[in-house]
Amino acid sequence: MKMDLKYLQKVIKMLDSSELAEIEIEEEGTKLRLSKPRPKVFSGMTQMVSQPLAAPLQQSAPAVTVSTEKTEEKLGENLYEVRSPMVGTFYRTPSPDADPYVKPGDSVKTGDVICIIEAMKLMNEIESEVSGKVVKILVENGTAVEYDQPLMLIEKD
Amino acid sequence: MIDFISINGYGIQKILYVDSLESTNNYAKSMADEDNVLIIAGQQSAGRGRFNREWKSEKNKDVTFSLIKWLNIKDVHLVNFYTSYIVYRSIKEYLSRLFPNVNNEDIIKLKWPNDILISGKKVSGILSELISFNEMPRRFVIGVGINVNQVNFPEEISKKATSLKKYLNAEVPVYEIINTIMKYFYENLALLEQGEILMELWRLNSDTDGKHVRFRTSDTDGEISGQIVGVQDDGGIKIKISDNSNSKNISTFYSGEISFIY
Repeated sequence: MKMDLKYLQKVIKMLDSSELAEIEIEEEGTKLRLSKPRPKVFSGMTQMVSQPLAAPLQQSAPAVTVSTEKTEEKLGENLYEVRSPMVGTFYRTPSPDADPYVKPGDSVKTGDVICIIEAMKLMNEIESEVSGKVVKILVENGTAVEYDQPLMLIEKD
Repeated sequence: MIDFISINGYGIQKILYVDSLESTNNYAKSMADEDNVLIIAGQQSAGRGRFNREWKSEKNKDVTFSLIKWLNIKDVHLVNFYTSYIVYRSIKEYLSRLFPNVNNEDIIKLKWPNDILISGKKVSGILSELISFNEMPRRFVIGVGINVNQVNFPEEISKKATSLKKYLNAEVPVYEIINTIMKYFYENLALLEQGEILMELWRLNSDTDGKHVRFRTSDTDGEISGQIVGVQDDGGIKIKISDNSNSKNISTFYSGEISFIY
């Protein structure tokens, strides 16, 4: 990287005069990283609906799990049915050429991504709610799925 | 060397610029445990779109970035409609600031689900990823591409794609527009809680209703012809399907690609 002083000064000035905490620039294998202590919550933050004043606290708070009973339902003692949380297209792979996230016989842990539901170009990574073994994939890759449609069966550990 | 934009905070905590990345979305996904991070690529070597369609970018000629944003949002589809509306507004604002004499009013439009068109050709596209659907706040990686100074498009794309430079016949500063986008993005987040208003705004700035289209569904065998009826509040697009039997039925789609029949 052509690290001339003027450029460096410019970046420092930018970081200094903004609310940013960190800037990282990577060019031709050289990395420049500038950071300053996290800024105090500034007044503009209060306008942010989704991240009100308590934003820094949220990061350490445990994640709230929502609507799990809708996405996965108990079938038998140990068999769980993964259901689609939305209307969209079911994908088994992260990209067209990649290997599937899971196939029958695979073990999955809670939180592992098991498929994608795409709707309106939003790729929703669906995580497993249980640990266990994939028994069956109920939907073909690339096909349309309805809300609440069963996607796969997982035998719970 | 990137002539750095002065993003004055707005809500962004961290900016990363990398001269070349396979995909800003993939890069962002690996660090999505941090909120409000902006990743800008000088060049994206493997931009992703659906159906394996690539978003080509030449070094420092286009804007490609991903924003990591955590949102407490129920209707996840709103994020892409919101982002496309914001990028659309930003492009309009940016152009009228740079070229006050050019009237862009009826030239820049939104196309379902989240493309931005100039004179009917794609100038910007958005592809977002939601990591951990089951947890609040939901962590989004919002990927945005804008053709700025690129003028050489492959033959098959040139009919469908354009750039700001092609439209204006003039070189346009590349990175400052990210500043405008971030400003609007963080200033209007309240819209995400008013889905009906957001969708109405989106519809008002799109003019595809009534257009005859080919619609390619994600299913391998699926391509239909029809006429756009409208975009619903839930993001689905209603299409009046025309088929040989001459029966006209209306279906709603949530996934797929539209091309206009001229």
